[in-house]
Amino acid sequence: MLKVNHLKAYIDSIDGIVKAVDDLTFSIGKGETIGIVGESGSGKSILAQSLIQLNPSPPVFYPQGEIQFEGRDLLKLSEKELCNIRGNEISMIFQDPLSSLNPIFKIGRQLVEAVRAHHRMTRRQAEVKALSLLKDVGISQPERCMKSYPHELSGGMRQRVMIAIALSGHPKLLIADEPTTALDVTIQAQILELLTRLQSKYGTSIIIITHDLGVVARLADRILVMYSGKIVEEGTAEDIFYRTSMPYTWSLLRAIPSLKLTLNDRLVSIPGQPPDLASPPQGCNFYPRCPFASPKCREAEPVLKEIGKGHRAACILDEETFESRKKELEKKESGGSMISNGQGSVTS
Amino acid sequence: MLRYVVNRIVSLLPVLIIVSIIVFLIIHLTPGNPATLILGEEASPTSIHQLEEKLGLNQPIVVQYLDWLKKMVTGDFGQSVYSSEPVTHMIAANLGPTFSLMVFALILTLIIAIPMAVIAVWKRNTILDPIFISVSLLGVSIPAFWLAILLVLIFAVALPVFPVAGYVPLSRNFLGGLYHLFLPAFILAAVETGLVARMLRDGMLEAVNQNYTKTARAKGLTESTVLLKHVLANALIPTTTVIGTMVAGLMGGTVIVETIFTIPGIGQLLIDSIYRRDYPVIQGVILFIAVVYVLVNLIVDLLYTLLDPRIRYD
Repeated sequence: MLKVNHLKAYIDSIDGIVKAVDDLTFSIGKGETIGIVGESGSGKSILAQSLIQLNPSPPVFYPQGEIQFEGRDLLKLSEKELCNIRGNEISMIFQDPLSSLNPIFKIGRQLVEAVRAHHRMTRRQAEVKALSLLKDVGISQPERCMKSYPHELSGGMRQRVMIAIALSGHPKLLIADEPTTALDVTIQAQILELLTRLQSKYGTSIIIITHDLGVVARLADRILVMYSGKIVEEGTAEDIFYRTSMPYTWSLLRAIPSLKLTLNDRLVSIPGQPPDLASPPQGCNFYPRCPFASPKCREAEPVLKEIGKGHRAACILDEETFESRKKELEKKESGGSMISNGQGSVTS
Repeated sequence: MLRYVVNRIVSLLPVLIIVSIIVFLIIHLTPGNPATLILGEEASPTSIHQLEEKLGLNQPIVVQYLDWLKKMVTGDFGQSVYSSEPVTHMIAANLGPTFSLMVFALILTLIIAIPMAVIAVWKRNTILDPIFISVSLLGVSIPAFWLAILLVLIFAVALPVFPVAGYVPLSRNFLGGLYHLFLPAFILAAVETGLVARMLRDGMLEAVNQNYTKTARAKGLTESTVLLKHVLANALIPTTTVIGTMVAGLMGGTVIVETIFTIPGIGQLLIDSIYRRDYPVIQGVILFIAVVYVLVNLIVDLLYTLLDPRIRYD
């Protein structure tokens, strides 16, 4: 349904060209959920906003690539054609539901506006539709909610309203950019449950962007791991969690704190900082932080290669070497005061 | 809300008392004996003495102030020394022209400033935005009296499109009145527009990058709807403060413009009274302007609750 081919989204900044999204290719089918995981600054939000071109432009520009959506290249559409797609065929919800709602308009007005953006109907009809949308996202007093201002609602309610706005046009694709990051854990679970329920009801495809591996493990059919503007590993949740084939993914998984940790254990982190995307390192972008790096990693950028069915990873290490290096490192660390808490702690 | 309003009004009292003290002292801080100033140098000592007694100038200054304040509070601004007319009547008679001029100037300011700011933000990545900033800076920097004389020279003398001076009450001839008021109102507006438009542009540029603007775009709204509904409404909140002080500032601006265009308003009354050393009128007008200034600011604070639902005064 949506196919992204060799997409590049660069930012023209004072420090030079920042390659926020660098030659990305992926696709999503009807009713499918894909998760895009990466740490802050890996380009995942820029990627999400590129899909319906919400990035401010300038400074963001697209030197290469195409975004095929039902036979059209979204990058080639006019602003007017894009307006017909946004909110109608492709919707988006954002990280912080408080700042994502206009603080000075009532919920009703913002929702009615979304409904009427793509459907010719009277205000009254739109209000009826808005009420049913609010009920659909599990708001118990929709009339009262319509009359409220955003600051009068709780975080979870606001995100439900955002989802109602996003669903108002019955989109074929919903892009959720860190939809649960600003919410507390119990609300997170409710929102994720809501997304799954609505997906099965409407058959919407979902792209969920997060740095929370637990979220994608629950929801996503396929996971893309992003690092410094590139996909470094792609596969099913099982591939990513149990057949990890890229050192970055492996480090990311190891960084999840486990409940088995005791007070004397230290949390595992990935040393160093994500690379400066205005002047990325030579060769593999992860090379400076990689525990298994060898001089060879510096020579050329690794390409995504097929490892299993639908499982791709960008690393020059072959499976056997990677496995033995992992074991070596874990053994070494458990010899110290650290315990290994890799894949075992993450369950789907 | 009511409690807030009462609190705000009570907190205005110190401001008004300080203003009243300054206004009262005008008469005593100017060199010379007020009675002599009023009656002239050749007046006999007896008549000066009589006037001093009549005006209470022989009393201790604190007693004089309290007497004066008591009268002011009860609405008795005294009488003009020049025409013996009650000051309140004189202010009331001159209020119409000033009020018409201020409202016209305010409307012109908004008519010019809002589209300017919207266009500047809409075309923010083009040459239009820097041009806009230069023009608005120029507007703020040009003194009103200079612009007034320049515009009179161009549009009333060289190209006689507008009248050089004069005033026609709007109640008698609405269009004719507007025609006479256009140049003076435009001059007042030109000075204020720069500031209002700049404030509005900055507010809009901030709102353009907010997440709710992104949501509005993600809904599929066109850029013009996004700018005119979501962005402009949010930018108007900080701009209201500027418009409030501007309205109050217009009061002062009218003094110059009314003099140049001989509009019989409050400003002209003030200038004439200063020339005539008509102290009761000067005091009355200044006090009146100060009260209007303070009240306008109060109204602006209350307007916030209408513009921004997050602000609640309780």
